[in-house]
Parts: sequence; structure tokens; C-alpha cells
Amino acid sequence: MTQEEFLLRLQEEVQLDRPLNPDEMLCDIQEWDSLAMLGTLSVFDEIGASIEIDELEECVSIKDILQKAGFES
Amino acid sequence: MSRISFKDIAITAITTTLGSNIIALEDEKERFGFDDEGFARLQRSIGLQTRYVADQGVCTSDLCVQSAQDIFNNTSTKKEEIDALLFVTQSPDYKAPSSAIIMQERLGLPKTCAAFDINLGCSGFVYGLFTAFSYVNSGMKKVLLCVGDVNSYFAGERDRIFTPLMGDAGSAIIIERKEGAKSFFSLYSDGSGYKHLIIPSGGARNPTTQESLIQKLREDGGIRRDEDLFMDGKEVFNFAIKTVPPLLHEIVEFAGMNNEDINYFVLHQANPYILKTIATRLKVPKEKVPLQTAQVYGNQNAASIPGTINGFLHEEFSTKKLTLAVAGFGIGLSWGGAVLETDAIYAPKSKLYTKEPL
Repeated sequence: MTQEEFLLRLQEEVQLDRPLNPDEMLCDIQEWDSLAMLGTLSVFDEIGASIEIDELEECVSIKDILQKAGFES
Repeated sequence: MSRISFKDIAITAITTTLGSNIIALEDEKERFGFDDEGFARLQRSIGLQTRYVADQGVCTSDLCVQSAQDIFNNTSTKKEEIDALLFVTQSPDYKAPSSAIIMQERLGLPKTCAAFDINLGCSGFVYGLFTAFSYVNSGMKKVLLCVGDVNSYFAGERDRIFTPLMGDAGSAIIIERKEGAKSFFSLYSDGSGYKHLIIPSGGARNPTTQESLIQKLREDGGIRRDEDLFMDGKEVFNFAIKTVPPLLHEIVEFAGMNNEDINYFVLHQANPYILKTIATRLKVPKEKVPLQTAQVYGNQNAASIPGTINGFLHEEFSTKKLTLAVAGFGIGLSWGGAVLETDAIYAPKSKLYTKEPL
């Protein structure tokens, strides 16, 4: 899965009707809540990069999530 | 616990009785205070549709008595063959005595039948099954295991965090000698997480007070009393996805099998989201992991594994020899897994509760 594809899946799971930007802060995304976090975990599972909720909670931006998923951005 | 295996013991009947009110979550939006957008998001994420809820005044024991009577009416099992009745529930008829003892009399079981309750929730089917297998292994002829809950006993009526997930059901299971059948069990508990799923008040530690009976808006957005069940969803999800995949790997390996040998992984039906995540981590085909029970019936607590068999796999279980892996996980925290072999058994489609005897 490419970074673009990962971001698209993330967008679906967070249930946003607009693309996600790597520079976005999670606290600025109204839809970023526990359901969105669960969805994000499942996207990680899809790429075989399982993480736990505690690790996801450490992320403050989309860029942090991308890094946890092994993307450079 | 060390891993335990049994030979020549098996389940021969499973029945489930459902609360008779079928409630669409859509119709409960207002009660739980969901706005349209929030509700649509919840439905897209978790996919909850309906839940089966018992009438006010109907107890879990009523559902289980109907399930057990169904078995006595439709199989060769005789009441006088039952040496023990185990009732796994968190919603007993009374604080004391054990409801199982009252059920002994209601079902017309012999006085030689041992009867008692086991206080467990979502892990309770596996714990109860292990106890029943142990009793048959020690010489009892047949054990009647009853499991389930009527959630209004402890679910806040306006708690949007917990209550929309829950459904009412009571199952009955017969465990007896069956030549050639093998089974494997592994049970765990971790009391350090007891606060993640708890009814804080109403017991000896925090007795009932006027304060504990007041409905309050809580930090998580749920409205409940201190005598209603609190669930920390994040912690419970974390616990489930961390413990259940390794548990299933362990038990399948202990059975000397691999995932291909297992026809179905029937897991506690917490919600489809948790099950989807566990299935992905198990790396087994999704069709081997039924996950729709909570969407259709609601989370049936200790009855959710038998409830899934009677709800969605009844034809398979009624006609085929199967190898299944089961896992329960939840309040305590406690969790347990088993690999079981069943021949074609009595496993009819789940039935609605009816006040009239079957």
C-alpha cells in the first residue's frame, strides 16, 4: 500500500469527505475520536503493521501516524 | 491455569432463547441522545442494527429455563440424567440464593442434582463449559450449563456508551460422555483491570445509597447510576485485541492443530469491530469468524457464543461433525479459550421467549 492509498483508507475510516493532509494536527480534526482510532488500527492491520491504541494516542498529527505506519512523510 | 484437555466428553445440545422485543437502534436515537450525524457515524463504524430485549420482569433464568425445556422436549436427554446445573450470569433472580437452585425445581430436575451460579460475563461460556467438562470427567453423567443475561438488570437505560450494544439471551447446553471427542481448554484472569468493566455500587464494598441510585451524566457522555455497569471501551478493546489472538494461537497449537483444521472460530460477540480486528490478526478467512450476532441480536454476554451457533450456524451444527475454537473475554478481566469437537448435535435456530411453556 502506498502512502496515498494509506491516507485514502484513513480518510474512509475517519469518515471524512475530504482528503487528509500529512501536516494536519489530529486535534483539529473534529471526527478524530475513539471510533476513528479503532478504524485507524484496522488500517494498520491491513498493511501488517499492527500497533496498539496506546501508541496511537501518542500521535499528534497525521504525519506521526504515517511514520508509525512506516511511511517517510 | 495450566492447559487442560479432556477425552470422550462433548456438547450434545445447544439452545438459545432471545428477549422477545426486537428494537431497532434507529428508534432509540433519542433515548440515548444521538444526533443524526453521530448516529450515522456509529452505524457506519459498528453497524449495529437491532437488539433483542426481554420484557420488564423477565429474568435470565426464565430465558434459560425455556432453552433447557426445549432440549428436554426434543432430545433423548432425561431430566433424571442431569447431575449438575450450572448457571453463568450477572443477572440472577435474587442476590441470594443461587438462581440455579430455583431452576432445579422449576425444571423438575432431581434433588440429587448439584446446582449453583457462577458470576461471570463475556468469558462465562468458556469458564462454565470447562467446569461442566470437569464434572463429567469426574463421573457425572450429564451437566446442564445455562448461560446468559438480561441486561436491563445492570445496563443504564440511557447509557449511550454501553446499552445500545446489548441484547438479552439465555442459552442451555448439555455436556456428556461422547466417545472419541477431544477438547482443550485454557483460562486466564487479570484482576488489575477490574475497574474497566464494573458495577461500582450495590455490593458490600460500596453499598447502595441514595446517591448511588441517581442517574448522572458521566465524562464519557453516558448517563448512568453507580449501580449500572461502567465500561471503559478503549481499555476493553485494547485488552481484547491484545489477548484474544494469542489465546487462540495457543489453544489451537495445544490441540495439535492449525487454523486450517478449525471449521469455525466462534468468539464472544462484543461488537463486529473488535471481531473484525481479531480476525485480521488471526489471519484466518473472515467466513470462519462469524461476527454479525451483536449487529442483529445485541451483545448477549455469556450467551453470545451459543447465541451465535443458534443464530447463524444452526444448520451446520445440526448436520455436521465440526471442530471449533471458542474464546470468551471480558469482565474481570477474564478470558478463556477452547478447541472442541462436536458431532451433529441438537442446535435449533434461536427462539423468542414466550411466556407459555413450549
